[in-house]
Amino acid sequence: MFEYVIAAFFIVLIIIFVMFMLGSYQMSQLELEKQKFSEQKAEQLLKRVVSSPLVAKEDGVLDDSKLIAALGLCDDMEQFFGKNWYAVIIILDSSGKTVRCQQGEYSTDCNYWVICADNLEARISKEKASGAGEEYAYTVPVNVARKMGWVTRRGTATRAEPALIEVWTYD
Amino acid sequence: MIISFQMWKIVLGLAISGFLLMFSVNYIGGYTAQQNDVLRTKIMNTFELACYNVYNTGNSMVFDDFSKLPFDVSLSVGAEHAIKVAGLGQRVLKVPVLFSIGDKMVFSRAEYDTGWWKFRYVVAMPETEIVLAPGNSPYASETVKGIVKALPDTTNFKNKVTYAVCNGNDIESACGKKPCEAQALLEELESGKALRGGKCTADLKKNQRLVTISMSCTEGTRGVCVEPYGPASGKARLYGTGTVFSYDDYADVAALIVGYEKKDAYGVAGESMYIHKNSEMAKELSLAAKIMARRYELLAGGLSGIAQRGQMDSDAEELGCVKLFQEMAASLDGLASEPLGSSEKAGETKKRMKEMGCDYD
Repeated sequence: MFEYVIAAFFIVLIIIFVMFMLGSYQMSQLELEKQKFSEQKAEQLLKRVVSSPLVAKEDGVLDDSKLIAALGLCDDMEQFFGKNWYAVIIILDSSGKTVRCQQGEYSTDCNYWVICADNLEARISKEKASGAGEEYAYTVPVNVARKMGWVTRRGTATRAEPALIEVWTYD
Repeated sequence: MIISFQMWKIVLGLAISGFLLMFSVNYIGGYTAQQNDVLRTKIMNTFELACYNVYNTGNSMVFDDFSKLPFDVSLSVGAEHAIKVAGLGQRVLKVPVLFSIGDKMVFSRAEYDTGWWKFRYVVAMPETEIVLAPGNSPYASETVKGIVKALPDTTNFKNKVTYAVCNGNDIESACGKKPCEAQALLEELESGKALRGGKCTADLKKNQRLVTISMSCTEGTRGVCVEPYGPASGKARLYGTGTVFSYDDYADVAALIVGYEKKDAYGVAGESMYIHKNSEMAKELSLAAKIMARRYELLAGGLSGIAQRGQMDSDAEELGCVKLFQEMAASLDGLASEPLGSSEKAGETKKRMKEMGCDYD
């Protein structure tokens, strides 16, 4: 009789173990799926910024005059692109000197834009206060079209310059 | 004594087996439901990413994942526009998507050109036959063209959106061949062929959607009824809503057709899609107007600065752009606060700017 009780006990134990294993597997699958989805959404945001006519002349070619115009419009940009993101665009310059572009002033001398700069600061201060949350950053090479890149006696012409765009999303 | 002990062992064995069996069945049932939820979450993630991908790239695609499990998906147009999935909560839409769920779906990007800005949106709809009932409106042909352009062109895709014409009890292909898809129908219409159809009394199949074009739509007209005032404006009705929807672009009509008469907890899907489209468009146009107004002010200032510094001849043709940039900035300033207002002036200035080579498309 006793052997049956022991056998039943072990069967129940095995069933509980299998349940636990399946439950853990399912949870890890969900967690992985969530992470993968967040990554893919961040990647899509990058694609969206790079192809949006709000800042781009064409897919992968950003317009410097649009980039300057978009500075300081983060609340509106967040309504369109979603919350908690920012983008840094930097022209690849052999001199290594970076001059940040300022809102309200068209210039071809600057080579560095931060869209939603407030969010960059918010992310850094949050990271200092409570550690890094879920963050994703993607960087891709793009071109920046300088609307008045060439100036001649008869008019101006667009000049394309190679650049990098880094788009960050965070929790 | 031995017999009763044997009996007791059998009963105990049966009780334990029954308990284990019940427990296992119960657990497997719960586990299967959970697995289905995981699968449904994955499918919804794929759906959302597909919308973003089509919106960003403009590449159309087919989507058959909804055939794997039953889905109850609706659009809620509250403070935030969200896709609600029964049992799975909601997800906020970040791009304008006109959708109706079905087993075999096709996604494509369409756009509405306001003259100064192109509003892009994704249309995601199942295999459908659009049954046209063009009445005696002088704008019937133009209206059909506009509707066809605002819906997915499925030529060379396995999931199809096709067109038929209804006249009384008869429904036949709209372009004499099957399947009659957007490209083929547009070619027919461009060649000047008029669609012959009238009041539709035929029974419609589940995958058919009736679009009537009439001089006078009534609340009782089945499906979507379009009453054009001109080649791209008019009013429309959707059966079951009692609302009159005004339209200035065919994306509005497309929204009614895609959502159609499906009723859910948030109302009639066609009406939700119409609200979603207009709200997203207002949001985008307002932001675009703000950015572009600033941009044209910057360009006007930049060009004037170059001229003032003497870097450009005073008779250079490009200096004529300064005035256009300023005019455009003024028009867009007005549109930023009233984005769905008349954009005729901005469109006209943009056209002149392109002609003069001041700006790109």
